[in-house]
Amino acid sequence: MTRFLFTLLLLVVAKPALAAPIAADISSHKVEIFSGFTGTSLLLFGARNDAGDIVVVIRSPQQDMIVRKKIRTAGIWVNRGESQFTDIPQFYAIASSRPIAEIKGTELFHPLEIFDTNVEQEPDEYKQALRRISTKTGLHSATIGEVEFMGETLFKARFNFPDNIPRGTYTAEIYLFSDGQLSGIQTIPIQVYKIGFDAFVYDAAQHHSLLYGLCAVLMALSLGWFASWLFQRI
Amino acid sequence: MLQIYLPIAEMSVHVLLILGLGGITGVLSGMFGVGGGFLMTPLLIFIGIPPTVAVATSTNQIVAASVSGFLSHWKRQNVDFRMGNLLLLGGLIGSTLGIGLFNWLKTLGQIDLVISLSYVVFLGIIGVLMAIESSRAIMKIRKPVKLTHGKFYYLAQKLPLKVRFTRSKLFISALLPVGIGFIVGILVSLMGIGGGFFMIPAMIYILGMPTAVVIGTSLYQIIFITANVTILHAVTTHTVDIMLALLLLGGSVIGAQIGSRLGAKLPAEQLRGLLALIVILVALRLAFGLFVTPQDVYSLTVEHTP
Repeated sequence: MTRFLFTLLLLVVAKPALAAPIAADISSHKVEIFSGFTGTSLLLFGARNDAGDIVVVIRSPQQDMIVRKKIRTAGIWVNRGESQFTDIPQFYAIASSRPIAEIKGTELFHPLEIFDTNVEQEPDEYKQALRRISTKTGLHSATIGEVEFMGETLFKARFNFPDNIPRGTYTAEIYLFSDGQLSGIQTIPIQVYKIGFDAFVYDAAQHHSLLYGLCAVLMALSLGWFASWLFQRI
Repeated sequence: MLQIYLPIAEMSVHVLLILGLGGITGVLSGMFGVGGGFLMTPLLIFIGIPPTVAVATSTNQIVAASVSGFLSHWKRQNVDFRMGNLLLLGGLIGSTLGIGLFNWLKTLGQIDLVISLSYVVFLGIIGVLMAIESSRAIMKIRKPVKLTHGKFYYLAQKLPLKVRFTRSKLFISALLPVGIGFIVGILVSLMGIGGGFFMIPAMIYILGMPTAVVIGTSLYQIIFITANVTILHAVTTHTVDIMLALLLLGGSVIGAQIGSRLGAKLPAEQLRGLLALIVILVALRLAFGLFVTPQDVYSLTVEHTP
C-alpha cells in the first residue's frame, strides 16, 4: 500500500511529462508451472516517447522471511540466531539501460533499493545471508540485467524465471528517468500459477485442508484393507 | 521419464527410489512385525524430503500398514478392544497435544532439530537394548525370565478406576493405559511413527499384557492415532503429501509380503540382532547429521501467507 501511495505521489510530481511517456508489454502475461517445469524466460519490450533511461523491475508478491543462523552448541548445530524480514519479494529481478548509479534521480527511489548493492558490502550478516541464499536459488538476479535500445525509442529486456518461482501475481514496473526526474511509469501484472494435477493437489492441501486430510486417511484405510484382501488370495 | 513431482514436498523424485524405499521398510516390517515408520521417516529425510513433510506423510502411510496388520490379528481374535480403546483415549489427547508442540517448535525454527534428536535418543536406546538382548539370546546366556508381576504391577494395583480386561486377563487401573497412550501419542506426532516400538514393550512390561494380544491391540489403536495425526498435520502444517504416501504405500505393501515370508524362514534371534543393528545405524547416521558442520549455517524460511 505504501509503495502504491509512493508511486502515486511520484506520478503527481512527474505530471509535467507527456501523457504516455512509455508504452511497454511482455511476451506473456502468465507463467504456468506444470509438472516438468524447468523455468522460462519472458521478453519485455516497449517504446519511450521521451529521452531518458529505462529501469525495469519484476517482483513477486511480498512475504515475510526469517533468516536463521546455526551455532554449534554442546557439539551439535542448533538454530540460535534469527532475523525477521517483512515485505520482501521472494522473486526480484531488475534491468536498466545504464548502471543504476549513473542514472540521475534513482538514488532516493525506494522501489529500486532492495537488491541493487553489492552482497559483500552489506554490513548486516542476516541481510547478507538473505541476499546470498536468494541469489543462489536464482530467485534474486545476481546482476542487474540490460535494457537494450533498438534505435531511439524502442527498447527490450529479457527476464529469466527459474523452476522454483513462487506463485502469485507479479508486477513488472517500467520506469523512465529523464534529467534526474521520474518522467514515466507503467506497471504490468504477470500471473504465475501451477497447472495440472499437482496444482489440484496443492490447492486442496492449502485451501481445503480438512477434506484433504480426510481423503488421505480414507485412501490409506482402503488401500490397507485392499492389500490384506488381495494377499490373502495369493 | 520416471521422475515424478511431489506437489507438497515441492520437489522431483525418482519413482523407483521411493518405491524401493517403501519396499525396504515394508520388508523389514513384514520380517520383524514392526510398523517401519521409525525407518521410513529418517530415510525420507536422507533423500532430501523436508523433515516436516517426511513426518506427516510417513504417518499417513502407517495408517494403511496398520490396517493391513490389524485385520489379520483381528481374524485370530488377538485384539483386546477395551485396552485398545483406553490406550486410544490417551493417544488421541497426547497426539493432539503433540501437534501443538510440533507447530510451536516449527515457529521457533527448532522442529528439524527436535525430530532428529528424538530419533537419535530413542532409536539409540532401543537399538542398544535390543542388541544386548539378542546377543545374550544367541550366546544362550539368557537370564531366566521372571514370570511374576513386575514393579509396575503394584503401582497399577494402587491406582484408582480399576477396570477388568477379560481378553488380557488383567484387573488394573484405567489410568495406566491412558497415560501410556498419552506419552506415545506425543511421540507419534513428533516423529512420524506408529509408536508400536514404544507401545509394545510398555504393554508387556508395564501393563503385563499377554504377548499374544499385544501386537493386534497395538495396531488397533495405531490406526486411529495415525489417522488423527494425519488429519491434524493436513490442517495445521499442510505437509501431508498424498503422492508421496501413495508411492510409499505401493512399495511397502509388496515389501511386507516378501518380508513376512522371509521372516518365517530365518531364525528369530539372528533376525532381532539384525534389526538392532539397523536401528543403531539409522540413529548413528542421524547423529552424524547433527554434529557435522553444515554447508551453510544460515537458512531462509518463507512465511507462507494464505
